[in-house]
Amino acid sequence: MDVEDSKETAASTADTSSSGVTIQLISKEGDKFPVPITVSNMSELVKSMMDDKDDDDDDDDDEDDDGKEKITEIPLPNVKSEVLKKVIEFCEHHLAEPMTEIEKPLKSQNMADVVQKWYADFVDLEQVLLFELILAANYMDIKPLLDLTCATVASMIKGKTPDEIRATFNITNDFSPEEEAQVREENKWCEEA
Amino acid sequence: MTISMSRIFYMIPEPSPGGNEDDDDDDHDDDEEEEVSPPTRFGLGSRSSCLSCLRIHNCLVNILEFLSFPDTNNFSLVSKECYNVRCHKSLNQTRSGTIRLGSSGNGGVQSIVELMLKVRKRKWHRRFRGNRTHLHLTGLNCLSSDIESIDEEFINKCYPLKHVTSLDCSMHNNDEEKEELSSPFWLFRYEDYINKGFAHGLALSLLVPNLRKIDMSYLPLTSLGVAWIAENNPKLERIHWNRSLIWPINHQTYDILRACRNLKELHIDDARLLFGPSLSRRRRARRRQRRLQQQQQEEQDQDDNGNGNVNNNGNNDADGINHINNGNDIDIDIDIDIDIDIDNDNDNIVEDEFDSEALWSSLIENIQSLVRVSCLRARWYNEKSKFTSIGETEEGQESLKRFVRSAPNLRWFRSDLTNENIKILKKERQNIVFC
Repeated sequence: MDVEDSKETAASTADTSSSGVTIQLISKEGDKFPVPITVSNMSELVKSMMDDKDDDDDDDDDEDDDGKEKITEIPLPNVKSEVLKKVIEFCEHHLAEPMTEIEKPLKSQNMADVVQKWYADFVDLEQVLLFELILAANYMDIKPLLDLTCATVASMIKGKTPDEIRATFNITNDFSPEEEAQVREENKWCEEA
Repeated sequence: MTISMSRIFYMIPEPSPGGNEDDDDDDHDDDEEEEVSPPTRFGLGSRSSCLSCLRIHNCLVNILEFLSFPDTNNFSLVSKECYNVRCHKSLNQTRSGTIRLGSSGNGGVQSIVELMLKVRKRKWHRRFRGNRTHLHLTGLNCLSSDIESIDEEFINKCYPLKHVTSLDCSMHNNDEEKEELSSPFWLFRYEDYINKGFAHGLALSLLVPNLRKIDMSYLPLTSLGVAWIAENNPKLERIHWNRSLIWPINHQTYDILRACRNLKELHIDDARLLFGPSLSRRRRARRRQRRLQQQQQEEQDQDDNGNGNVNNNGNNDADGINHINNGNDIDIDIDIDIDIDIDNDNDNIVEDEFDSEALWSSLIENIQSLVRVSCLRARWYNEKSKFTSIGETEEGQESLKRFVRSAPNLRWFRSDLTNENIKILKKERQNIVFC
């Protein structure tokens, strides 16, 4: 992964930010991603950490004693650089084009039918990266990203039989026939009379 | 700066053994011969799946929220781990269930008695417990009234779905029924309408006695049918009654609706309200006197026969019915407007007949708790022009204004009020949102 590229992208965005305040997000590997505060604030986790930090430093100015702009660093030890780059990409785009709310239950297996094309393309990922993105969105508390990624996995389940779901996610059937029958019985949410 | 791990991760609360079943407060259940196994939480044998990592962060629950019932059911059959996630209490899919009446062809239930017997036989009261509080009931229109077969003994043996607090028995999804019900009410045979309108109310009062929300849009109901529902569901907070043929509405209906002290929302968009004749005081007094005489005569007859325990539940004629509410006898004195038609005593009828405006405005007087009301395109019966939109005439506009002014708790009102009238009302009641 080209961390430097992402850093440059994020940094350039930071430069053009109207707020001018930059936050350094630090990935699990220690890579630093400078982002405008408007982007980082999409994460409730980062936002609350910033608030906590503000409380601690309420007597300080935004500049150090030597006059340099102070850059706040936020460590995200559970998010890999590759994933953090995607998270930032999402947040930046979301600010420019907010994602439409995803309808529940999903009306289609095709994500392009339920959300704008950019977002549908954004989550066209390998399963492993998609799951890591879900975990990152959950950890960083970014609801639109969590909705998008979870809906994507849901679209992979929608309309499939149990066998097909097992094949899709490489899951072993650990039910005995009796247990499976019991679950089928409990699942009778719809009664006919 | 350090981040607390507990702040980041939170585990899925495991479904407790016994699943989402509450402690059983249903007296009937103790009598069950055959115990139905509660939902089981399986031990996790395999953690090899790629979904496992999502489970411990609650993310699988978020994923399942995007799926429909059949899909979550299929998911629950994938593995024990998936099943345990599907049992999570926060999932809407675990809160709802459907009963489709009349879907079994000729073998389907066709009467209230058959329905209640089937509930008991198939133990539906056990399926609708604990977390499953929403019932979607379809095909209610196929039920006919067989009240003559329903007595106290039968009702005591019924197994109502006590945990259901939200009911959708609307007919939005049935195009044929929708077409039929959108037809003018006069295309119905009178007896059919009375029968069905009454049967619906009775069936619902027996089946779901603890409702807070009900959507009965498109469903034909007579005032007596409404009475059954309202009297049995004093906790009702929200009624959706859109596009229904509501007939007849009269003072007695409002008296009964007053039992819904908690009613906060009433939606009657596109409804056709046929207000029944209101009776003059003189005529009412005469009827009361006549009824009293009849009661005294009946008591005399019973004494003469030495039988004081006659439960004439089959009598749903004009002078009232014995209504049994959860095993307790409650006499509701309900005048059915058939009485007007078959009564030969015609004096004083004309002067009050179809007093729509007075009856409409008395609705709000009887239900002071209303917070949200929607009556867009609702029509009422006018002797001259038949069904007209309430907001179409000056009289209707005035009645809508009076409606708003006499509703102390109203905060949201959607109607055919003109913009001018809305402006006037906004000045008087700034805390009401007009749509």
